[in-house]
Amino acid sequence: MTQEINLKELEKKAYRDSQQDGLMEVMMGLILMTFGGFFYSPIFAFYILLIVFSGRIVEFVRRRYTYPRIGFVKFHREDPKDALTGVLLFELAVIVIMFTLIFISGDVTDYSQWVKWAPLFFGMILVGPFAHAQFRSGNVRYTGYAVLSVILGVYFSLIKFGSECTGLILYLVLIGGFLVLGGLVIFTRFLRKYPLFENGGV
Amino acid sequence: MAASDSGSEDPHPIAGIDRLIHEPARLMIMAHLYVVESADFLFLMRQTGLTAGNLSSHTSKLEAAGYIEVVKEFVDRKPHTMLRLTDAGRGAFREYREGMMKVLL
Repeated sequence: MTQEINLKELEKKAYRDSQQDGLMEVMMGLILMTFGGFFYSPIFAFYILLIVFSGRIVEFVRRRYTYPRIGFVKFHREDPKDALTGVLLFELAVIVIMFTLIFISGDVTDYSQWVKWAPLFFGMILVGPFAHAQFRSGNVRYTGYAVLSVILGVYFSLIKFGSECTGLILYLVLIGGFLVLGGLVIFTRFLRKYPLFENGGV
Repeated sequence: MAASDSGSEDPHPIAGIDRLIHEPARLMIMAHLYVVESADFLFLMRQTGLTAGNLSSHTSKLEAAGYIEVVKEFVDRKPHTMLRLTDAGRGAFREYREGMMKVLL
């Protein structure tokens, strides 16, 4: 049993180490910021491009900065059925919580109530990927992100703004900006911690 | 590579332990490769803490036993080595773990 635990720990460490460049945070933050900007102006619709090409962009940067420093690892693929079931169940749980919350606080057919609680909705949605990353890596920073996204979601849902969407825009820009800044700090520390491996390639 | 020279009909479980895997550095390499699909030489070096020479020497032995597959390629005109456990290697590692469980429990 101890060996089972150790193998799990080895896998978590490998995953944690492969994600220590902070680039996923930067990309996720950029997507959230531009998505928030989209509610302000359609010019930010390019967030869709960021979502579509996020994997390729991160891979492009990693090929230049991450892999030459810590190497490359490919993990076993998760079962798509399990992943899809997990995502659907999680989304369903979030919708049920939101529905209950709005039902208690007002009228579920009132559109403005859904907009008002949208920051919390997105905050809870964000818990999903952060919890997944925490589960795979064992890194507590993802729990911190999840807690922060929910707390900020509650905060921006309860504050009254002039425009309906202002709370949601501010929430997405703030949480996205936090992730971008945090990711850049992690990336800078990563570059300092791991100088280029000088062995002409291995 | 299993060591079994006792000649007894019911040998002690430790006699069946794969000595090639039992060596600490190789055990580390096998365990790290077991939990991933594949990894390159640098990643394995970072994870195991072995020097390039040590890692190269041990991976050569594991490759010769058919436990790992080593693919050498050039990326941006630099040599790049990918390593992965073969099915035989995965099976041997599983057997080794089960064997060690029997010995220790």
